[in-house]
Amino acid sequence: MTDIEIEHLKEFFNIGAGGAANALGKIINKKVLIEVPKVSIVSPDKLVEQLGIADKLVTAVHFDIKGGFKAGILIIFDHQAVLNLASLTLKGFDKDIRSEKTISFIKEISNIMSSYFLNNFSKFIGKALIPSVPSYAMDMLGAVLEDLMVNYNKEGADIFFLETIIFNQEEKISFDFLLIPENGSFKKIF
Amino acid sequence: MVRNFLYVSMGKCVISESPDVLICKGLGSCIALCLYDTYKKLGVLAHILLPEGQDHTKPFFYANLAVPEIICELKKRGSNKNILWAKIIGGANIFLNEENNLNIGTRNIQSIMEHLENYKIRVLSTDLGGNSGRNVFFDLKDGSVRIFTYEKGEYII
Repeated sequence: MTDIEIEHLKEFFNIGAGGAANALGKIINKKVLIEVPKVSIVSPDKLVEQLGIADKLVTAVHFDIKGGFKAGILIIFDHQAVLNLASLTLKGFDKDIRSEKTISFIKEISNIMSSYFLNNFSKFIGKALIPSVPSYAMDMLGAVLEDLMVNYNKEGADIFFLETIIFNQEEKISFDFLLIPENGSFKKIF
Repeated sequence: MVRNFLYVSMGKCVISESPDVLICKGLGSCIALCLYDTYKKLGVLAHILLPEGQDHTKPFFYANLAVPEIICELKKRGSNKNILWAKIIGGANIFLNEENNLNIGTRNIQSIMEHLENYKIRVLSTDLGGNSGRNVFFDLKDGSVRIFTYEKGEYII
């Protein structure tokens, strides 16, 4: 990829992030202030240290993207973000982040954000994109990333997109949104 | 003697001696291959990502390249492969969804077992599969491996 193409993608990611944040704002029915999201391209071996500590417990939702662009989307929430999101939205939330109710809520939130993102992205590249149903894991950060990397990035190519979006309301909610393209996928767009 | 704690990241391999500890944190579908020479108290931990591959610039990414590479390296240090033993950890499937079919973990296990078999390396114990990420601490003082998961807590193999 050339520098211009990378700039282009970064710009697109900024727009996509804003959209996903707005979508989230609508769900929790509160106005959210968005800090300018960071967009970075990271090599696989730097990814874990960029996102935190390898054995930190996180909640993660994965979508497999098929169609004109093969990739994986991974949304990672930390403990506090799940608690804050659920308390803002769910009535009678019992602070149990492992309960069925909380898990399906987090899946649904992720679903809406990734759909929003995919709609924009598919317009941007002019190709139809089909997401899978969400799959969920609550485990070590390193283990979650590893699982995805070996599936999409078999040649260990050093390109990844990651952004951190932070909402400032009375409570702070932050999460990481990752697009992990399958090897060779970008060549088909440009 | 100073006891070093050495971290092994994805696709990397570290060789060291007693009393060091080799560590792998947040191990998911990858394999942590521990090889130990009881006489020399010399050990290797490799963090292997995938079952097969041909890129010789990254030998520890792939099980088929990692096993011969490690044996060769240990030979240089004066270890005979006949006295080595192995402990294998990892190969979990973190995401619970059959549709997405992320079953690299299972294929990693099969591959590493086959290649160790080919080189007649004795497998002493294993902790494989499941749905949990693992922390691995390979103690080169005695070759014990301490494992931590959020699901089961701490145990030794």
